[in-house]
Amino acid sequence: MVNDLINIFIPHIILILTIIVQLVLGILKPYSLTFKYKDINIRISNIVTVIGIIGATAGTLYSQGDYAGFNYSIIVTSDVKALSILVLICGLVSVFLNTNLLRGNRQGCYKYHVLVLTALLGGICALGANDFLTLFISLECMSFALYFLIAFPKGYPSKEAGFKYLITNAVSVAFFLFGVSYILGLTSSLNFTEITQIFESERCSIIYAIASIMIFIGLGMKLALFPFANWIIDVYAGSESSVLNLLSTVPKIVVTGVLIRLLSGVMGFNTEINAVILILGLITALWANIYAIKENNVKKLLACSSAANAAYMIIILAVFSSFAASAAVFYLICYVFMNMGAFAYVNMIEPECKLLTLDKLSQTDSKLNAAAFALCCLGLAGLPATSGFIGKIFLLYSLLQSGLILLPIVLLLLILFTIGLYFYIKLARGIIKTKQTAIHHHYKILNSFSRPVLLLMALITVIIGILPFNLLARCILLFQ
Amino acid sequence: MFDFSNILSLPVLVFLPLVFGIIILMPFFPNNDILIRRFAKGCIIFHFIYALLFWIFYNNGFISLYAPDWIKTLGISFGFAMDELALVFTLLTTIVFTLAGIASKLHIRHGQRYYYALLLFFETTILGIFNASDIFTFFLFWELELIPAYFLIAYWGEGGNAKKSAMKFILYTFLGSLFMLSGLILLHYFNFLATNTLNGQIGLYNLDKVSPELQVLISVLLLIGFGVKLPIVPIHTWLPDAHTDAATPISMILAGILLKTGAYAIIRFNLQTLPEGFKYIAPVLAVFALINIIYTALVAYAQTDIKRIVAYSSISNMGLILLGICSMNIIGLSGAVFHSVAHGLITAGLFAVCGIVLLRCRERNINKLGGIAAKMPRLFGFATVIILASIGLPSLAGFVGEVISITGALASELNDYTKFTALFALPVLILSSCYMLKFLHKGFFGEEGECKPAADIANHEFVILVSIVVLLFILGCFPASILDIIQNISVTNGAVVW
Amino acid sequence: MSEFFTDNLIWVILYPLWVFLLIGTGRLFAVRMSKKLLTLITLTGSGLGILFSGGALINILQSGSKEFVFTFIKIQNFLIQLGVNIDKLSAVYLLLLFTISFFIQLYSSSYMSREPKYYRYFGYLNLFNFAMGLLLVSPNLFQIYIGWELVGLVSYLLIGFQYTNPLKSTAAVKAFIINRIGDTALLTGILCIIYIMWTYSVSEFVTLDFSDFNIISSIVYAHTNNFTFTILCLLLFTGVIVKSAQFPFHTWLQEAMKAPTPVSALIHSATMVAAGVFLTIRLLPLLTLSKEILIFIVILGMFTALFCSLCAICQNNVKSVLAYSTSANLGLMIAAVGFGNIDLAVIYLIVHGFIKAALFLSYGMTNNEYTDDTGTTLPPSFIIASFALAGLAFAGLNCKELFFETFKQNTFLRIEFLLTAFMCAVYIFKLCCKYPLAKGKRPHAREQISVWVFLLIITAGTFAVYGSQLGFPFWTAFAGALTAIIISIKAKECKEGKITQICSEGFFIDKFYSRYIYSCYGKITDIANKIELYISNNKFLVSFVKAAVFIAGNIEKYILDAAVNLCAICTKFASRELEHAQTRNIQTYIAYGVLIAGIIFTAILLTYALVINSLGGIG
Repeated sequence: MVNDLINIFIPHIILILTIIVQLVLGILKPYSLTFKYKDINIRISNIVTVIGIIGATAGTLYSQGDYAGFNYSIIVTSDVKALSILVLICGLVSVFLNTNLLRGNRQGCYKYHVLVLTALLGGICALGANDFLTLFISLECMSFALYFLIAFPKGYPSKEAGFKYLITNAVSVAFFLFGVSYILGLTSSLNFTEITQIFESERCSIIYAIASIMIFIGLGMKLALFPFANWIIDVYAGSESSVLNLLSTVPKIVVTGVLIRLLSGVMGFNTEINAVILILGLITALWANIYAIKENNVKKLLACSSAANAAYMIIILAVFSSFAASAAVFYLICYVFMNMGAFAYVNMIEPECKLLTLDKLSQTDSKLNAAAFALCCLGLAGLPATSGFIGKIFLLYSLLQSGLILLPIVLLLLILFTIGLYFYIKLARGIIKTKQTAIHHHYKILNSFSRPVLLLMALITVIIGILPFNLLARCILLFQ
Repeated sequence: MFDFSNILSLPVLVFLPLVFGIIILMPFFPNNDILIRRFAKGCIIFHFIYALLFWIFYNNGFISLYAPDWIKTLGISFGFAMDELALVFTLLTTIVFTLAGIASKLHIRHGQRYYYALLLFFETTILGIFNASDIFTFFLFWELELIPAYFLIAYWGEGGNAKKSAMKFILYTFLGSLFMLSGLILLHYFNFLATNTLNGQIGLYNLDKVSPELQVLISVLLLIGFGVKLPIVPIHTWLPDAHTDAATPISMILAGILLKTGAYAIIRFNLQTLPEGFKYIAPVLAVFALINIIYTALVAYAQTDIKRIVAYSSISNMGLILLGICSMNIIGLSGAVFHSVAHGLITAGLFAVCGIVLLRCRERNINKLGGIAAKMPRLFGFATVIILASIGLPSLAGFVGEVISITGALASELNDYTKFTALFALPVLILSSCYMLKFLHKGFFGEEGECKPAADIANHEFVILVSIVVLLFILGCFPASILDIIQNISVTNGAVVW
Repeated sequence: MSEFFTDNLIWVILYPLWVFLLIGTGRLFAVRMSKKLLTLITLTGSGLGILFSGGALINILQSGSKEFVFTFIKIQNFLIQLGVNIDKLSAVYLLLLFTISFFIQLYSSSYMSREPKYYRYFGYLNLFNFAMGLLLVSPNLFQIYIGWELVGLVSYLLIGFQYTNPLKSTAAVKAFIINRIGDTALLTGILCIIYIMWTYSVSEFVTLDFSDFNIISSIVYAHTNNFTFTILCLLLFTGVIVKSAQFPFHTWLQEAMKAPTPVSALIHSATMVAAGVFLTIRLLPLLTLSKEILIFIVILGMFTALFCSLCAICQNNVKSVLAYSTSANLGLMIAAVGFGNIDLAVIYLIVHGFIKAALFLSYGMTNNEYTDDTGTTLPPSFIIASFALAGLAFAGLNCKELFFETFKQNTFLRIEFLLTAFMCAVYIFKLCCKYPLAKGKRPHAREQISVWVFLLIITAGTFAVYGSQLGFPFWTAFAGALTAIIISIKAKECKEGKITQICSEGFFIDKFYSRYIYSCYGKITDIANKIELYISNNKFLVSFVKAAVFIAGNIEKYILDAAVNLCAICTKFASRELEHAQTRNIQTYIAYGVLIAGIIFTAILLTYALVINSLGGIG
């Protein structure tokens, strides 16, 4: 690896520059609120962010090869780059969806963008982190930004949600740090490469196992894995869809990336961690799917879906192989796009309803929108012609490839998929107008971007579903 | 002379209905119900004629393997190929869809645009199942079929429970197909271990080196998936509900073809691809088949809803097909395929009759019906022939299928128990005449019931019933016409050159 | 010249089918066809049938049997053929079939003239001719089965001809299902033979041709043990028992009497029921291999003859008496076949066919259910035919004598036969005495012609059949007739004693079927249905998963609950419990989290401790 700071930090620098620009603009507020066109500030800040994110993406793509910097505390490899780009895309999409949110709080539009960019910055730093200190700081950077974002909209529910996220996060961080301190004690190093070398040569002790599990639990909270899973339903119920769009994707990508790195080295030398990952993943999926059966609130359902899908991804990682890692990343990519599609649709109808229940899902003026949403839901359920279907095949393939020992677990997973299908079908069915729910409700789309985003995501879902080959080949290349 | 075989292309065969369906959904398509219906009907019939060309120009061998790479990393291709087995089922599919398309006229009153689009989409998925040459292509269509089926059952169903039944159907089949998926993955993976090539083409599978125990495991996993569709008795409970609550044309398709996908898959995978493993399973499965046959025949007698009687009779007949497959010889296999075709037509006809009765009398309870024969003599004539075919009267198609299946099971070389199951399956001829004659006797004979029919069958219904009856006669009197093709189906994969 | 008849017999057999299809199609498109034309077409068929089968009979007597087959099912070396095989037996049978059928059709054209469903009726008659023809000319067992089923179907359709009458349609279903039992047994037997042949036969294709039936029988006999062989023969013979209305399946014939009278004459007395005798003759090479089977056949036939005669005595309805009498006489024929006297069986079959047809038609002449059905009167022709049936005169007398000759080795059978002959005379003359002679009624000419032709044939048969002497059978029949007359004069009606009642109820066999077997069947189906409901209502797919959650989370709470209710409770419980767990209270969530994390760590520590202990300490 080449020690080259410039190549590593181009995207980070661009993001930081954008943050500074947003801050300056926020202080200056170039157009006063009395200006005739009320949304001008929102537009300006959006454009700046979009340029910043696109610049950062271009910067990520610019550098070729692997690099390391700051005494191997940050590295850039192809998988880091790929996941970083995914993070940036998620950020970009949520910028397109933020109109509803910012119209409710026109004053704070620049603040909002600063927070989003900070979250993205934290995310891509964490993906590249190669020691625990960097990892911890970047993750917290991301989490704190998200915390403020959740609490950003006016009103009590968002504040409650933000607070819950903060507290749970704090506890999980405690676990994380506890685990890290054990590792530090065992190896007197925080650098992943060094730790890996030490554990490769030494006999592993029980302390090491417990430390790994603690780190896993700490990270797992961000994916809403058991034992810290319950927050997700309350937080999603109280949040706004563009924030949820970010919350349900960026931490997931980041934590999955980090876990792949940790499991391939630092935490990968004990078998207990695999068992724990499997058990926690299964329990989470079971919990989320069963909870969703009776649920009627769309956001809560999507929260369950989020937890369940995160759990599936983690279950793949329990059998750690390069194929499993690429399957997990593939699943992640598929999930991210379908999920963003679903949230884009929620974003369209959200302003009209205080409490978004299933029977209100059909309130859209275009059948195409409804169909696209249904497609995304069916994709999340893993029905074919969508990327979720291919993702599911690879998930099971990577599990079964590791041997028949996992067959019972696979069978349990199958049952979970089926229970999941139940509520996804409920979601997809929601788009059909029936006599009881046909409320003639005249409404106009507030956000002109949510429709293109929705259709684009649906299109991507279908394209990956039909022609998955390129993407999959790239995913496999990442981990060879 | 123009060579017709040049225009025969499997992807076109499979995706043609989908294209028609998309055309119907397009915004430029006039929003006129009659026009939509006629267009859709035309499309289905056109497609039927196209499929017929495959039959005409088929000469021993397979038609146009079309397999571009799909997921190259795992050797998976998006492959289609047609052999005798696929050909027979394809033809059945197009016939039943044509009949169902015609039958939709009076049954579907709302949302015609979406209905016909979904119907065409449904046809594509089923043809995809029958013509897939790659296991993952097969699985793709197998799952894809759930989506149109669900919406067709749920939103155009008869009676209030349609949504519930559709949900039951989709959950059952989805779980089954996931089990099947794990079986397929294991199949693919162990084939890779055995032959050292990653390959998804069903015809190229060679599992001789894989131990029988593993084959049994894979076979069982697959069978759970196929068994839900077929259905095999403990996992059949979705069927009566779905068939009863679906609209009549959809019931025709469900019973006529959807169940046959299960039979097809068992032949294709368990029998042809995993023969070593299936040897151990077949005797057990034969017992399940026997339970299917006898148990559901008993249950059918206790039903009072005419559609439920027909639904249970379907399960019973599917048991016969399963028994034929379990014999693991060419006679049983031919019988199973032949009976699939025969039963596909018979059950489609029976559901059509139920639908007509339902439309005219607005009643499905057999105790409230009666005396239809006097009011609707033409319907009575057709119904009698179809019912007689379903109880296996010679000279009609059902008889030939039953006899060949059971003879195959008798001639099975697996062990003596399989032969005994065949003997014990024979009393189904008595049981089936009990419940079917109850249908005829209570519904059509006797004094007029509470619900009186207004008029005899309409012209389009006449066309449906006539074509079914004529086909049943042709198949029953000249089974050789189709058996000549069916008997070329191989019991093992080895003989098929893909 | 007579070659021509044999070669083209196939068209004569197919002709009624075409007529049937023509009528069916015509009705479907509501085409009006004149009744006269229809009758003419039908009669032409039967007439040609008489001509061709007569011609074929002459030809065969000269030059031996003819066979012509084509492939029906062929799957590799599994071959089933259909075709035409005409030998003496089938030609004689065909002649009988077409003769009776011709006159009955002629009779029907006037008898049914007021029936609105006239076309359907004639369609069925044509279908019957075709089915029976198919059965009679079958070259192998398989085609026999096809014909067997088809004639059963026609019988069903004709019994339920007046389908608006629930009694008649129920009778049709009953008759059909009992017939179906026999058919299934026969099919099972045939399939078993196919299987045995297929396994052991050396020839390339397995067929069940009657021309090779001796070889087939020997192969079957060689490769089965005694028990299996007996079972196999019994299965095949069950078909015969049912179709020929032998004990204990004779009850369907009573139900069949609900059909129009000409149908009773044609199908249920003269021709279709005789198919059993035909099949027994065909199967004789197989059946003779086992002595027990032959004895069984004779005993069953003789028992049925006695039993049904007894039942017939106590009947009051003319058609019922005749139905029981048919069973009884068929029993005699089957016993004759069992004795190996095929000629006698065939002769008596023909004679009995004409006698019965004459009896039924005479009865129908004065008692038409479509015109007037008030009171029962009998025409003189009935009495003439009764003499023949009782064995007092004409061909009946000769046949009874021949029977007596046949049974000469066995005194017991001889006595039993005499008893049957006695009772036969009793029941038939009881009828003659009971009902008044029809006076002043002028039946239609076509009806009269048919009856008198039959009577003529019977009379002519007297000279054709060898062995007319007034031996024991004549005197017993004479005694029977006298007894009947005396009884009728003494007491106008039989006293309704207990024995009489039991006899007239046919020893309650029919009641036994409908009350016990039917209700037993109903109960079985009910049980099956209950299981079905239980399976389908218990959503075990979802509840199975939820049960797992439930057991894990709440094992103490509900562990004592019945296992059956478990699934249902869990379904509700799991989601409720999860909802409760979602308190919206952040402290709770963290408490859960820490608790579970603690459990995990404790578990790992304990595992380690155990492992280390078992290894004997660290190091």
